[in-house]
Amino acid sequence: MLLKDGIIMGILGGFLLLSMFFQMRGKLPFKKIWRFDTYGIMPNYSFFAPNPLTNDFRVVFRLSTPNGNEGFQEIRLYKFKKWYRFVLNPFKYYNKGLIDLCVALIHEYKHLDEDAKNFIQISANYLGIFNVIKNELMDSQKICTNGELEFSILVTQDTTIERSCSVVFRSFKHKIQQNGEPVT
Amino acid sequence: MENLLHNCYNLSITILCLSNFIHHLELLLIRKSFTTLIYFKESGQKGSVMGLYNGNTKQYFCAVQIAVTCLATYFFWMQGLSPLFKILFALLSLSHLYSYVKRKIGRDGADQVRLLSFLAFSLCFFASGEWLKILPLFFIGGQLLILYGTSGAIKLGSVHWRKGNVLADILGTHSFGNGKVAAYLKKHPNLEKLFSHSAIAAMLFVPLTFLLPLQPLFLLALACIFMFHISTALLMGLNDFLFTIPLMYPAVFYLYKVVHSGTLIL
Repeated sequence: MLLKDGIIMGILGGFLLLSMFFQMRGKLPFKKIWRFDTYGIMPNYSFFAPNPLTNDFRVVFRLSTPNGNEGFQEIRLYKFKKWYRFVLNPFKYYNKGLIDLCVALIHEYKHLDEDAKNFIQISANYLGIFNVIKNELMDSQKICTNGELEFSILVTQDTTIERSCSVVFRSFKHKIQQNGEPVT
Repeated sequence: MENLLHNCYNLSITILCLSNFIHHLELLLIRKSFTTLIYFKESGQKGSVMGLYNGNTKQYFCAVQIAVTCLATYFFWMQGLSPLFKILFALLSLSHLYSYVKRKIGRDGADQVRLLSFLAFSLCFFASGEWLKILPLFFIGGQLLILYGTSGAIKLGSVHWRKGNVLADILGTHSFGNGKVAAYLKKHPNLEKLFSHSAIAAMLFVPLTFLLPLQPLFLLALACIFMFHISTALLMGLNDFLFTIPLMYPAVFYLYKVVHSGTLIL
């Protein structure tokens, strides 16, 4: 074995050890050291545990135009399931992406001080959801540059019964700029 | 036994290339408006080097990734570890790392496994002799044991999973669900409990049997957990795991053989 092999072994072995400690990070001291992993390279293998996701997030939005309010519409989040998704399931990225945005936005909002709640409007997650709505409106050619837009995040359970539905986040109302971006 | 190292290495690389091919094919097939969500631009960020936020550029990026993956696989099977293959594979690894870092949302465990495997294989191109193949297999095999050990142990420690009534709720969602199966499990709580507990058992079975010198039992554990991935792909649409996690099986098998024979098998 050459020196370079030893170095590579050290790097991989060290990363294996770090990966193991990372899984136990909640129970180990020095939790702050994991902040160095800004790009999320350390693997998280908990998968649907300890608290699995047992509800759906739904994003609804309303466009107010000079002609009056339109009713709430839902982002098409769950309409692209195909039978062959066990082989090819491109839509999962969009689905998971929007869920991540909703979870992060709600988490962010909950942890903002009462007098700082307004700042949620400049959060990347907030703007990300606005971007989704803008794309949805552009797809349906409903973009309106002199209207106002607001959105809400709902949580529902059970695909068959829709047994509960609650509003977990309500956005501010925003005027739409010429380029379709919200004024925050 | 003679070519165990080479067979495990070849199989692992091939499955990784297949997984990368499917991953980028899926990203290529997503509608442009959806892509802007996945690679969404954070406030204050000035765009990226390769303009991944632009839907069209991203599609070219994925198309190039697919082409390079096909070429790399072809050269690997035709010429083995040739310099051309190493260059193509290293390029894939770097672009995968770049894409992973940029895609801050919608990532999952399969993305992490694919990235770590790419980086480990590429890093070991610098190793000499058979270490080039042994080291990444050891690393990936070790990651698999951590993966199933952690996933099983956390589920075992979770009140929800131990009660055995989470599957119907998970499958009852639009995101990862199948309404009919969820309704059926709701009506048959004992069956739901059995499936919940067998998922935990199948995960823990892999690291536990790894410690025992009983190869058929270890292979059975891998077969059981593979069945689990097939079922999650069918029921929940988690196809990424089905094509990514198996790249670790040849690696962990090689690791198992080395650990229990007490010698490096070349």
